[in-house]
Amino acid sequence: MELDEKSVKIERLYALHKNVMLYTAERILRDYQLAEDAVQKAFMKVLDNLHKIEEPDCNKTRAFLVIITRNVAITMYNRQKKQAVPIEEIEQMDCAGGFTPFDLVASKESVEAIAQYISQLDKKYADVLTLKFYYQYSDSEIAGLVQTSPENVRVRLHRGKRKLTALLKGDERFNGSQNRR
Amino acid sequence: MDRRTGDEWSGDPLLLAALQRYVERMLGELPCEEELSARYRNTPRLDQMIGELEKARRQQRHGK
Repeated sequence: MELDEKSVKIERLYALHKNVMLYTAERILRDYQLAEDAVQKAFMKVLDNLHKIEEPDCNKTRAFLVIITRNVAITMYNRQKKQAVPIEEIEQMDCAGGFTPFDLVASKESVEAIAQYISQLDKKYADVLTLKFYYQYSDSEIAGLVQTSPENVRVRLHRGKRKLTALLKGDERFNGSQNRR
Repeated sequence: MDRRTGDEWSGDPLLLAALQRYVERMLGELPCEEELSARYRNTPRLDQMIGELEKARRQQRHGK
């Protein structure tokens, strides 16, 4: 990508999504100036991943920027409150035995239901699942984006998958053998 | 399974569709752009910070 093309892309991303980034940060930090600082930090992360953003003006990019800003703002909030960021111990990564709860025929209803369950997860789990499986970032890249270690990303992924699987298993639509492919 | 990542969940079309829907819902819960534009009409400090960030990036690239 040419240098000028990059600059145009950055300006476009900023013009299109600055407001939603500010809103996301301000809602967490409850302080406008801190929210501006969070947007700047989020933008630094975006610049590092600019090559992965194909289209500035789309919902996928907008949601990506919201997720990054949310994580930067939460980290700032925790530091401001002097709360120790919970250290998540690396668990024994138990094998799921090849089972995935998505072993179903996709339907509008099942898509809607799974999306609903994802939104019920703690944001730290929903965010890493989204960055991993929707945006297809590696564990190391996610660690940089959400300001944690790759080990912690793997823990969050593992826990997020486990929690989502448990939610789906509690739903007969995803638990019934008649739905299997 | 995605052979590249070895992850059972990678590339699953139902999970992808659900995540796309989740992202749409997340954006749908935010105020519309018109409302946000009115709220953040004037952002000189942030504009300057991002401008400096971009300037530094350009200088770094030229320096390489």
